[in-house]
Amino acid sequence: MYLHEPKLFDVVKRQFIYKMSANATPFTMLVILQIISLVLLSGSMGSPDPFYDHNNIAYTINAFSNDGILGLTWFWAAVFGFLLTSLAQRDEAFSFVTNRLSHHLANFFVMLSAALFGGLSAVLSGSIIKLYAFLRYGEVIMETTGLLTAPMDFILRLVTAVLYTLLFLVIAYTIGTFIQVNRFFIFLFGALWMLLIRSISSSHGESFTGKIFHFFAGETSTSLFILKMIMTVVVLCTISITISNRLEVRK
Amino acid sequence: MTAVELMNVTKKYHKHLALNGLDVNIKKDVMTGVIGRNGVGKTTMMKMIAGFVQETSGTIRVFGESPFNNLTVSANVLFVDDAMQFAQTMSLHDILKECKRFYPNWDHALADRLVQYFGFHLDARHRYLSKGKKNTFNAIIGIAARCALTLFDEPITGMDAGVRKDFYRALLKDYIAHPRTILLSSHHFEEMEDLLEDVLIIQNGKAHFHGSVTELQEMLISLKGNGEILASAAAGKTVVYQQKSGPYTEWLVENTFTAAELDRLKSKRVIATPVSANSAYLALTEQRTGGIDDVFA
Repeated sequence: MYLHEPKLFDVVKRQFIYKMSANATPFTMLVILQIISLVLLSGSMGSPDPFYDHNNIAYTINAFSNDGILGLTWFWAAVFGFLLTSLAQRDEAFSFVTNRLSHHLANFFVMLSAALFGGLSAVLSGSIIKLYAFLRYGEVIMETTGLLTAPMDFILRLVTAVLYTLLFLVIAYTIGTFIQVNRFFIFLFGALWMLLIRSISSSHGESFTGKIFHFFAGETSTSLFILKMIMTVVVLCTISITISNRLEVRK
Repeated sequence: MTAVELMNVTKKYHKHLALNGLDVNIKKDVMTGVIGRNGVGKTTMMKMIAGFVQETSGTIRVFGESPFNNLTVSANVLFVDDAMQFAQTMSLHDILKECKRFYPNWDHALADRLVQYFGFHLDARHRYLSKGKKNTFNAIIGIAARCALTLFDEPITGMDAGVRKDFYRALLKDYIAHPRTILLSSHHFEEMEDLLEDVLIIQNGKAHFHGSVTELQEMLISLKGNGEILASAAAGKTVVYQQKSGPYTEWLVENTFTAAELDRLKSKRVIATPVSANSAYLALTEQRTGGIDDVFA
């Protein structure tokens, strides 16, 4: 029997397809979550009582937003990223051909797919909200821009949502990997979390947490923003691969 | 040709020494039985060969490469045990399809026939199978994948007697048709004697014996007769096992007797018989300091 010399790319591809079908449930969960949040969180916000200007014209403001859906998608992303590092996921991967690098790379592509799916569907759910507002209130002024009126703006919104979803996935994945390497990191991350929370409430303005938040959320240049996000994702993934490269499986 | 080489390999789990200077050369395209009492390091050795766990010291070579984190080794080695995990969402049918994608030598028609013969529902979920069924399914994967090196770790756990017999036969038939290196660990050595070519007995984290089944059998001889006569006959030889039943005593003694010596024993009414490989294995791995009876003494 002669030996097969597999190529890393082929193994990653096979593992990716396997992992995508193995993780069908989280994707279904996201769809359900988005539908729930569409129903519960996206209703009109604002004053039900009209107010009057000096010409005695009545104004009623109804604001609709898919912020809730985006928030829930990011929460899902964090949970899914963490889930991907679980022991069961690792054992499942190692039932077939893989090494640690191909396992991580396949996971990264799963996260990329999840970010694309989650980010795009969250943004596009805005259309359903607009449709709902239109059917309910008739004539409405659309504040947001569509694909036809301002394509760049629309694409930017998609890219931003996808990148933030990816960021949440990868951060959770990295934390999960640390914890898989050593359970002690649970306490370390717990302490770190407490520190970040305290940093928000204790100081005003440029607190440490504020700086981190500003770094990711306050960027005004599109290309710089994309660069920052991609660099962060690459750095976090490299950390995950490096620290778990000697991790034993199916002990 | 050597498929697997272990040189002075040790493995420590925290303070517990699972393997202690193991030296083994596994021949290519040979079916080797890995036997030993519970907790002697059989599984640890196999998991190191599969590249799942890393050796604490020493060198392991599988097809000439270090197996830990090695893609080539992973592609050519399949480790089958009862803890194989598959995604919960996948049916048995899906799992077999994945095997087809991952293993180039995979014989899908054979897998299908085996799955049908052993009465599996293809839309069943792997985790809901009974222990015996799960191991039967995993064993089917092990057979049909036809990896250059297949490691079966206690494959027959939970299988009923009929399925065990069928499994041995299926494995043997496929092995003869497609010779490859197979390691098979089990506690039911007596069932596998006819199947195996080589035996590797592990004890105290070391290779206690490694050779053909016949060699193992010929290592020892059983002598039955009067205790005093046995004592004089076995003088200067290693006695590995003694048992007294009624007026007769049975000793398992290192087999270095010449034909003349055996004739002389026969005249003294000592019956010399060959031992089964299983008795030889049990005798070789017997605890020297008392038996279970001494616990209750």
